[in-house]
This record gives sequence, structure tokens and C-alpha cells, in this order.
Amino acid sequence: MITSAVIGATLVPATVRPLGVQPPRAVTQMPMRRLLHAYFSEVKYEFVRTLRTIAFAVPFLIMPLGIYLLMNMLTPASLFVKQPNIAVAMFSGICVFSVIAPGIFAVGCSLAIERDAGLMKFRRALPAPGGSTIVAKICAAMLFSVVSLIPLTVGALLLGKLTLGVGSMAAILGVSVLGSIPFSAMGLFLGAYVSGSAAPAFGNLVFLPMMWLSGLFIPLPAAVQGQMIFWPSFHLDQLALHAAGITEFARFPPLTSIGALLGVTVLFGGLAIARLSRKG
Amino acid sequence: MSSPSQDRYHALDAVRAFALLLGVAFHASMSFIPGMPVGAWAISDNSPSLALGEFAFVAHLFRMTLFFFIAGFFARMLYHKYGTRGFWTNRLKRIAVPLIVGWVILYPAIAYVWITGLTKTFGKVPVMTPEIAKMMPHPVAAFPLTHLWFLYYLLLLYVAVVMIRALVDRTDRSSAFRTRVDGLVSFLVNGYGANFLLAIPVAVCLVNFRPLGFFQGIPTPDQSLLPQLPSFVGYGLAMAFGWLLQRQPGLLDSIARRSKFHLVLALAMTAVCVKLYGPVNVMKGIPEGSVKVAFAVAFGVASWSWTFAITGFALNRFSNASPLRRYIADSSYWIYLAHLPLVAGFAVLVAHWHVHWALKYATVLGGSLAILFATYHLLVRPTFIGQVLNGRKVPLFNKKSSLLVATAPQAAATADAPQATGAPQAAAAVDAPQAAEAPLATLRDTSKTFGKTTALNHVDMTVKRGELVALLGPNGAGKSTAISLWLGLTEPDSGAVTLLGGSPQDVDRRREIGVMMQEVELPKELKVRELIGLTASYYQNPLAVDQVMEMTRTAPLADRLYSKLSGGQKRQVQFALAICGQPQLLFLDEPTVGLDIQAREAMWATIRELVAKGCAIVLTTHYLEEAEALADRVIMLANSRVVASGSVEEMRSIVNRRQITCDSTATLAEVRKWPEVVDATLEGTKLRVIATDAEAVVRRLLTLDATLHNLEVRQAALADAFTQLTKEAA
Repeated sequence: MITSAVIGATLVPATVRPLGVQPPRAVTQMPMRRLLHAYFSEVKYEFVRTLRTIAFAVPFLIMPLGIYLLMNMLTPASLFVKQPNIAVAMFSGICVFSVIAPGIFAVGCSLAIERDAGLMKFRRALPAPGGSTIVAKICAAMLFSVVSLIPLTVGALLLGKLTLGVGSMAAILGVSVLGSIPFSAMGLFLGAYVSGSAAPAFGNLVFLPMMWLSGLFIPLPAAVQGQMIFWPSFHLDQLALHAAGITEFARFPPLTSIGALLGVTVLFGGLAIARLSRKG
Repeated sequence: MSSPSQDRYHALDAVRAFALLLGVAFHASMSFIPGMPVGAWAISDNSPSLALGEFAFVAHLFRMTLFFFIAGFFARMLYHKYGTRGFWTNRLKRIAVPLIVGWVILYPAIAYVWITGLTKTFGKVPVMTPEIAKMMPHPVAAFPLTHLWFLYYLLLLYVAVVMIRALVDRTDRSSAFRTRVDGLVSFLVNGYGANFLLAIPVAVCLVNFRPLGFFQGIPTPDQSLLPQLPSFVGYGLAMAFGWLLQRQPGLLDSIARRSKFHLVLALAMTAVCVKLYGPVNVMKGIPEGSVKVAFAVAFGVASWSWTFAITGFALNRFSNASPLRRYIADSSYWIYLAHLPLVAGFAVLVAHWHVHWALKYATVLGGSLAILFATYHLLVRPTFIGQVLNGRKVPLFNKKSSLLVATAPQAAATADAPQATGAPQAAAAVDAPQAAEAPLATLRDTSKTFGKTTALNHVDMTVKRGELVALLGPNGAGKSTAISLWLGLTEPDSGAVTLLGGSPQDVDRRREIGVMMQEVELPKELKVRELIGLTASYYQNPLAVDQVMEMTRTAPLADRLYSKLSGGQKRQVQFALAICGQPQLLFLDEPTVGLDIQAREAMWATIRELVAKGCAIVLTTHYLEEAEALADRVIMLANSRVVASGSVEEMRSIVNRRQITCDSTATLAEVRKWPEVVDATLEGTKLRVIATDAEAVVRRLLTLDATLHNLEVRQAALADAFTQLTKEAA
């Protein structure tokens, strides 16, 4: 034992400040400034992590623009002349599409993997401020949505057939970014209940049908339109178009869509929080 | 039929594969059926065949009943193997995912083939003819499920069956009802009644619920999400009967023995059906009036007779394991899922060739199967698709893994929590609190159980300022549970847990602690400096990131991603995270696992430094020399109790033993006979003896062997105390 102590002592780096017994500290509350700093750090590093997850970041940054340009090419030019708002509907549909993936996949898969890795437990044992993980994931998904909308918007302005005022465009983008929240809530729900290896499968189970069946890209045949109302993406699309002042595709008053999205957020967010706050 | 029950299921696997592959053959024949209206299939061949029409008629008579019957049998097996939750997880993965993903991919492909076929028929892009429009059903909740309807119905029927099961479980507490049902099933299967009784609901559905436009028997419910009554009843009955039969697997023997009878009955009833129906023509409904009833009954009996005949035949012939059959059985799911656009596509391709229908049919079926088996072998079996569909992935180039890989791996029940035993307690030096200073952390008469396992049993522990407490004990002794309680991760069943004078659930209190856990994978996308910065942000007065890195020798790793670090480096980073908040109390769970000697000594030095500054540390370790080198106090846990506690010296003296080593010619057998010897080992000439009375043993040794040399006697190590105490507690 003496030998080990001697070896240990010689290895103490010289730069460490001199020792001295510190008096016991009283337990106090964290000042607000430090608390905000903690939340800010969580958000910042969550966003950094999302951007560094190449497998996720690159496809979801490129795909929306690709799909948008493809659809523009395939749609006959005469249609845009006859019905200029088709181009706007197309744009808002793709904007909505771009904010779904960060919510469901970035939030859901990362949370599921972190749960598997014991990280949620570790964060709680460490004094991570309450709910900071959830706040961080939702904010990071919103930030990622903003980043993924930039190439899409630039591409649409340069190459698309968009006839849209700055205000309307900003409205669509703003609604889309805010609209990532219900999808993040769905992601939280997914991540809180399934394992990391199953999360991508379950994510796709929701994502793929939602993408097609909510009529974001192509107008659906009348026979299968009835089910669109069940998809939050459909409601977000409705809201985005409403915000841009386009009413010709409206099927529900905006309040209905707001209610549906709030409902999704509260339901899935609540279930996720209930699960994550479970002890033991 | 004396084969072990498990072997029988090779036969049922084969039956399921047969039902699915028969479906492929059935769809391949569709374009050749006489009288098929334009648009009802992708194309109508220019050389129709009555033989293929009759084949389709017969195949379709029973193939889905057979399939759902087997599905029900396997469903109950699965349910009882994995429990409700596991059952649903499995079914969602194997059935719901293929349904949804499959539909998204297949529907456009099928639509494309249909449009191509119709374009070929009409010479231009087709329009909806009134003839087709009239035939098209317009159901509620319309949705083109395509051939994937069987997955949707499987899910619906699973829900129904599991719900009924739950209901029966609740109401039939004495199992009287179940015994009666088992009796009925047994009676029906043993007494030839099943073929007839089960036919009745099918016949009722056929007669009443829908005019039989096509000769489809139980109508294919592929147009609506709303469950269609005839299909739900017909196939639901098949699944339910399969489920019930699995309650008494011995009845399979009976089916196997009667397979010839079932076959004769199946052929006879099929002949009746064909006779009553007349030459196959799709446009023709079934005859009306009393003939219709006779037809429906014959149909029902035929479908169940075929089901039993084929099942029995397979049980007789295919009960042994066969790599080839296993391969086909595994591939059949993929083949059935993916076949429709291919089969219809080939039909479109050959439709206008001027050759005999048999050649064309061979092209359609052979071409499709060739592509489907090739895609299975190359794209499905070795990839995640195979994992999803069949529960396993088989490497493409691996001879050994050929075809006989064991079925789904047994879910090993991992018991995290330690085992409860009622073993008598070893004399325990209880960890008495000392009044000097308020302790930083305490457990007072704390118990915690997980299910039936007791993790902690009335345990008392304290940790005081500036001391390093080593928590020792075998795996499952309760060390991790004690720490989880202090970290606020779980709550005790009884007793009190305090951290810094209050509840560990209070985040302000936890801000005074640092944690290094085992088995935590930190975010791999963050760099070391970022990880430390993030963790430091949780604390009120953290150390500067650079200072932490210097203290923990992680500065050279500052800009490396966590995922790029070695195991030992990861431990160093985790240590940095633990100390970055200047904690008053530090929990270190196996901190030096995977570290090289230098890194370990450095970590020890930092730990001593922290203790000198007044930080209290709770250390769990399996390296007893680590506890000897660092600990002020040792607490030993075994079987959920504290069995001993004290300084390292005190712990050593608990075991009144010494170790004698020497080079000697004495034999082990002889030495072991001596009453003072607890244990003896011999390596070459090096004799090692653990003794309660060392002097007596040395005397005996010298008497026995005068040439003895290199004699050494020393006090037992902590390891010996540990071994003895845990043995006594066991």
C-alpha cells in the first residue's frame, strides 16, 4: 500500500493547484444564469451531434431539394400556368416533409439509442436539469429543420416555378419549423418506448406511409383521401398553406389543424415524458 | 408419429410454405382463366386454359384456410414463448412492418404493371369501361390492400384471438370452459367431425353474405380496411382452430393418421363443387337456389378436408429437419410478398405470344420464381430484410451457416437483480455510524426488491466526508442497487436513503455529487472537450475544462471524438466527467477497468488528491488490490446484506489465516490431511498452504521434509477475507 502511494504521489501532475482541505459546502439552488447555460449547452451539443451524424444529416439535407426538383421536372409546365398555386402547394408539401424526418428520426432514434446506452440514467444521476434532454432534442430538431430548409428554399427560388411573396414564403417556412414540434413529440414517444435497434424500423413504419398518404407530394385519388385527416403532416401542410394565404387546397379551418397538431404533441409528448420520468 | 413434438413443426413450416407458393402458382394462372374480364387481372392471355382455370379454382378453395390454420397454430406457440408483449413486438416486426413498407413499394409497381397490361390490351392508355366500373366494388373505407390483405387480416385476427384469450382467462378461472373446448376439439379431430362442423360457418357465409360473382369462395377482402364478415369469419375460424389445436399438439398425430381419409373426402367434395359449378368461367356466378346451398356446403367441407389432408401428409413425410425445405420455407414469405408484380408482369409479357398456354404458364411461373429466389438469396437472406422477415440474417458466403441455423434465438432471461436467499447471515460487523460529523450519504435499514429478487435486505451504510469507502461483494450482492438508491435512480421499498442530509431525488443535492457508471456509452459524436464542457454546465461551480483534462490526463484527447477512443481512454474521460463539478461525494463504479498500469496509477493519485481535499468517494471494484491501495474503509456485501465493514487491516484480521509458501517435496494429499490446513496447492515444487495455525503447519512441514527451503509466512490478503466472508454468507 505504501509503495502504491509513493508511485501515485510521484505521478501527480505538477500543474495541479496545491491541495488543501475544502470546507463543506451547503446545498443551494442553481442560479438562473447557470441553469440557462445548462439548457443552452444541451441544445448546442445536441444540434452538433445531429449535424455530425452523417448518415442522418446528409440524406435529409439533400433529399427534400432532390424530390422537389424532380417533381418540378415531372409536372407539365402548362399546369403551373393554369394553376400557379400548384407550385406553392408543392413547395409547402416539401417543407413539411423536411421537418418530419428530424422530428421522428433525429429525436426518436437518438433517444432510443441513448436509452439503450444507459445515457438517460447517467444524465439523471448527474444533475442534468429536469427535462433538458427533451428540450434539447426538440430545439435541435427545429434547428436542423431550419438548416434543411435553406438549400430547399434557395433551390426553389433559383430553379423552381415558385410565384410567392417574401411574406408568404416566410410564413410557410416559419410554420414548417414550428411544426417540427409535433413530429419531435412523436419521435420522443418512439424513442421512449422502443429499443435503439428497432427505432429506425418503427420510425419508417410511421414515416413512409405518412409521407405518401398525407398527400404531401402528389394529389391522392379521391378514394384514399379520407384517411389524410389522420396524419399530422397533412394538418401542418394545411396550416402552412393557410399562413401563406392560399385557400384553394383548404379542407379544414386552420383551428382544426392547430388542434390536431396540439393534440398529437400533448398525447405523444405526455406519454414520452411519463415513460422517461419513471424511476428504476 | 412418435417423433418429438418440436420436429413436427418442420412439417408445419413446410405446409405454410406450400400455401404461400401455391398462391404464387395461383396468381400465375390468373391470366389464363377462361372468361376473365378485362381489367380484373393485368391482362387476359390469348390462349386461355380450362385446366389452369380448374387448377386455380381448386387451389383457391383451400389455400388461405390452410394458411390461416397454420398461422393460428404458430401464433399460440409464439404467444406462449414470448408473452403478450413479446408476441406483439414480434408480430409488429414480422407482419406490420412488411405490410406497410411492402405496400408502399408494391402498390406503385402493381399499378404500373396493370396499366401496362391494359395499355397492351387496348393499344392505348385505358379508360375505365362501364363493364369494369360495374364490377368494381365500392366498399366503405376503401383501400387497395392488394395481395397484402393477408397480413392485415393476420393482424386483425391476432387482436381478436388475443382478446378472446384474455377474456377467457379472466372469466374461466377454473378452466372448466377450456377443458370443455379442448374436449370438443379433440372429439372433432379424432371423430372425423371437424371437416363437417367447421364447414358450416364457411357455408353460411358463402350462401348469405355476398352473391358469388367470382368463383372465389370466401371473397378476397382486398378492397377495404373494414373487416369483411365472410373473410373474417372464414379465416378467423381457421386461425382459431389452429390456435386451439396447439393446446393439444398430440392431436396432430390424429390428423396425420387420417390424412388419406381427408384426401379422399377433399377430392370427393372438390368433384362435387366442380360438377355443380360446371366449366370454370369467371363471369359466371354460382348456381342459385338449393344447388347453391349444396355447393356452399361441399365447398366448406372440401376446404377443411384439403387443409387437414395436406397438414397430415406433411406430418407424415416432412417431420424431419431438411436444409432444403428450411431454405424454401424461409424464402416463401419473401416470395409471396414480392411475387405479384412479377407474376403479372410476366403474364403481360407473354400474353400475346402464339405458343401453347403450358409453355407460357411455365414461363410466367418459372421466370417469376427464378427472380424471386435469386433476390431472396442475394438481397434478402443476407441482409436486414431477412432479419425482419425471418428473424435471422445468413451471411451470403458462409458454407457452415448453410441452411440449418437454429431458429429464433432463445431470449435469455437476464436477471439483473441479485438472487434472494434465506441463507444464515455471517457474523457481521455492522457499519456503525460515528457521531463526529454528519454523514454525506446514508442507507438506514434499507430494503429493495425487484420482483421476487431481494437486492438489499435491511442494509445500513454511511459515507463520511473525506473518506474513501470501498464497496465489495460478488456479482449480484447489491452494490449497484445501493448506488442507484443514492443516485436517486430508484427508491427503496423500506428504510431511508439520504444524500447530503436530504432526499437523493432533489436535483440540488445531486449537484454535489459526481458519478462514474459502468456500461454507459456517452454520445459518440461529441469530442472529449465538448463532453466535459456539457457535463460541467450541469454544476454550479465546475472546474475549468482544461483543468479537468489536466487532472485526468485527458488533455491529449481533447479534440478527439468519443467514438474514436480506446476502452481505457473512455474510462479516463468518464472519470473527468465525474470530477468536473467539484463534487463533495463521488461514486466510482469499477473506475480502472481497462486502464494500463500508468493510467491506473495516475487515476489513483487523483483519487487520493480528491479525498485529501475532503471529497468522499464510494468505490466499487473487483480489483481487491485497488481497495487495499485506496480505501479507508471497506464494506462487504453478500446476499443483499452487509456482511462486514471496517478498515482494510480490520477486514484482514477477521480472517485468522496465514499463507505459507515454500519449495518442498511434501505431497498435497499428505498436507491436506492436517487439521490446521484450510487449503493447499502445489505448482511444481512450490507448495502454497492456507492455514489457521501457521506455526503448527510449519513444524509438521519441517518434520516431514528436512530439505524444505524458501519458507515464507504472511498474513492473509484482503482477497482471502473476501472469499471467506462471501462463502460464509452463501
